[in-house]
Formats: sequence, structure tokens, C-alpha cells
Amino acid sequence: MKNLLVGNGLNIQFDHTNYTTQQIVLRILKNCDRDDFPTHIIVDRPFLLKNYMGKLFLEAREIILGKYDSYAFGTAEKESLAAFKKQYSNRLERLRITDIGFEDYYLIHDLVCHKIKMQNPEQFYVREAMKVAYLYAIYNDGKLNQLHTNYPVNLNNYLKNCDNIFTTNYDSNIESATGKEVYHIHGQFDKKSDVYVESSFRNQLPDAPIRDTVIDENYFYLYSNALTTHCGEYKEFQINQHSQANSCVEKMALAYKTNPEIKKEIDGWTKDKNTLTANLGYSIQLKAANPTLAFSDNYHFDKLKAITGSIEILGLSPWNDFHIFESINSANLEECVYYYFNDSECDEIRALLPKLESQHILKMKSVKDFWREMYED
Amino acid sequence: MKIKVKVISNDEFTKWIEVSNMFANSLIQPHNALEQFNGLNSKQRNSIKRSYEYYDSIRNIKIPKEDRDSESYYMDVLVDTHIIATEFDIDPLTAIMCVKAPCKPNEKVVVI
Repeated sequence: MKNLLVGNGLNIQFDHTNYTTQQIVLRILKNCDRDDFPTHIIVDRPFLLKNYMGKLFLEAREIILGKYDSYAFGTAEKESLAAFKKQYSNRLERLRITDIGFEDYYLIHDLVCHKIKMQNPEQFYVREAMKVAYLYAIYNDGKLNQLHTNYPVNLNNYLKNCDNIFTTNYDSNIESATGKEVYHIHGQFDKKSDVYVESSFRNQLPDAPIRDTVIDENYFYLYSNALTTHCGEYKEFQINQHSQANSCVEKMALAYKTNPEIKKEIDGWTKDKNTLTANLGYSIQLKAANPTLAFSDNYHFDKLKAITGSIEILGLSPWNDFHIFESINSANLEECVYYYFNDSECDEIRALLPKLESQHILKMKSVKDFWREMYED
Repeated sequence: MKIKVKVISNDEFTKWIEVSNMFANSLIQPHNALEQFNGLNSKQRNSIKRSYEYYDSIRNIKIPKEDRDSESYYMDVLVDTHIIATEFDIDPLTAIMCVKAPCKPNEKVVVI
């Protein structure tokens, strides 16, 4: 099987300016001054978001200097903090707000929340506002989805010849160019998150989130299942939680239907003051009554883990999303080609794919050569 | 072409940097900011000044009167400075130095 994994580098190839990390952060800030900023979805007073980004930037410099080391909790957060400091410490003097990748601002936000003891729901609400502002900036009023109109014919043919195409991008350019199904392993703009789908399992529960939400379809992409966070481990957790929840509820529903004692116990959960316990009880009751109900799992990560044959990796940075490289490293492959932009990426990739490297099936090719070929007559 | 120069004292330079950096909050070395400033031509410096005027006008509309305290004003100016700095590919301190420079737009500054 011929597999392809594509990252944001593909979009940058066809628009060198608007989809770099710097330009996306710049757009987030400038969007806050737009007259048509969707205040009914993101935040009612956009200047607050703009100011908050400024405050996070000032704290970022303190973080780089080590003053937040005691505010990182858990292995994932500590590893993210170490990677953050490594990435930015040698340019501390020259750092601007737009020089910090937006997903790193989630880390800064979480660390600041730990320091000032801001917890959920406020920590969650602010992070959600940041996330939706990020999606608004990436979508770029729909211009993002037009990049495929500049794809050369050779690229379209190359894409069509792949058996499976995976991408970390949220846009639908490859689908538009090829008509093929593409597996968006970090979500996609045109698939809504479960909480915004009326018929979803989540919205069958008594505290259905959609009840208090008015969906504006003009901004459908802001309700998407796009995953964005500062570390691969958290992305992997979000990717897996639906399938894990489905597995758990399925087993519990079977026990509910076959064991009267368990049924009595679970029925009692629905009366618990703790919403999580009550919701678990309701979920099991609903699943037992309607076995087709399931939390939607649209990240296709199981497909990525099960790939065989060859994989080519195009436009994906080795500095993020380590969970993806871990999965590829574990896959049963005959060949893996990584298209690098700078030589410095090669050593990093070899370190991320040690099994493939030891099997001598990992090949490094210049992405400049790739694009030269794509533009050949 | 004749390069036009404005000579200023170290005290004047320090004051210019200190006042500018109250809003830029930059960590760049002052001589590096001056080097960037001198590298900007008159068109760029005037464009930067106009950008500040534009963002000032927006600020008065976007921040409601009841929310216009000194902290929100300061943060908004800081963020706008970073926006302008990114657009001109310069440091935020360099950007704000253009607002009240001790020289004409077509002059380079020399510190003695």
C-alpha cells in the first residue's frame, strides 16, 4: 500500500505568506479589530483576547528564564515546557508575540493558570476562546480551501496514486483536488464536534450542551472537531478518548442488560449529584436501549497505526506531533520517505523513527527536489 | 547620494529608548534597535507612524469607555506595536522609535 502523510508545509508551498505560524498569530491579533469579528461565537469583547495574548507573551519570557518551572504539572506538561524553552531560549531578546507558535500559547496559558490558581471552568473557557480564534485565523475567510486551484497536474496525479492519504491539516484542499477520501487525523473544518451535533450521543444526555448553543452555520468551521493543543500526548488523549469511551460504555451496557444487580447500581448513578457520574449512568442506559449510539471517532488514528507498505511524509515538521512519529515508527512498513526542508530536520527525524532507521528503510529526500518534479512538464 | 545624519547625545538617545520601551517592553539591545531604525527609509518610517495612527483610532472604537483603564490601554498599544513590528520585520522597540524620532524621516541617527 502506498500511504502519504501531509502537513501544513503543503499549504505553505502554495501560499508562502498566509499560513506560516507567524502569519496565523498575526491574523489572530488583527482579527480582533475586525468589525465583523464573530463576537457571538468567540468572545463578546475581542480586545480582551488581544490583550490576553499580550499578557501571555510577557509571561512567555519569564517561562523561558525558568521562572515557571515549578508550575508545570505532570510529565506531558513538563516535557512541553522543556521543549518550549529549548525552542525559544536562544532568541529571547528578539522575540515578538508573532514569533511564538500559537499552539505554544496553550502551554503558556495553562502555566499561568497554575500560577494564579485559575481553574476550570474559567481555564477551559479562555482556552476555548483561544482555540476558536485560532481556527478563525487559519480558515482565513475560506481562502485556505482555495489553495488546491494552484496545484500542478503532477501533484494531482501523485495524490491520486496514493492508496491512503492522511493529513494533520483541517482543510479540504486534497479532497477538492482529487475527489479522494482523506483521513484528517487532527480533525477537519467540515466535521462538527459531537457537542454541536444534535443527534450525537453526547446530546442525548439530559445536560445536552447543544441546548444552550445557537449554531451559526456561516461559521460552521468554528464548531469543528479540529484538535489543537500544545503537545502530542494531549492530542493523542483527545483522539483516543472517544473510542475508549465507546468501549467502556459498550461493556457496561452489556452488563446492565444481563446483570440485575449492576443495573440497579447504574440506575442509582443517574441520581448522583456529580454530573460525570450521573452522565455515565445515563449513557449506559441509553446504550443499552439503543446499541447503535456511539461517540463519533473521526480521527482515523487507528488507520494510521495499521498502515503497511510504504509511507511518504510531506510538509510535516519534526518539532511537533511526536505521537504521529511514534505511531509510524511502530507500523509494519517496508519503506518510509521523509521530505526535509532543512538538513537539520534529518537528525531529528532519525531520532523520532529509530526502528525504521535501524531497519534501513528510512530515506531522506529533499522537498525542493519533490517540488521540482511536481512542476516538470 | 548624500546620507543625512542627525547627531544626538547619549542622554538624548537613552531618553528616546526609555520612553519608547515603556510601550514596546523589548529586550533588544538599544544599539541593535538603532541599527534597525537607521536601516528604515523615510517611506517605511512614515508608514509605521501612519500604522500607529490607524491603530490608535481603532482602539478608541474597539475598547468601550468603561473598559479604558491604563492597563488595557497599555496592553493594546503593546500588542499593536508587535503587529506593526511583524509587518515591517523589525523589533517592537524599533517600531515605536519611529513614532517620536529625534530626526527627520530621511535622516539616520548617530549617537555621540
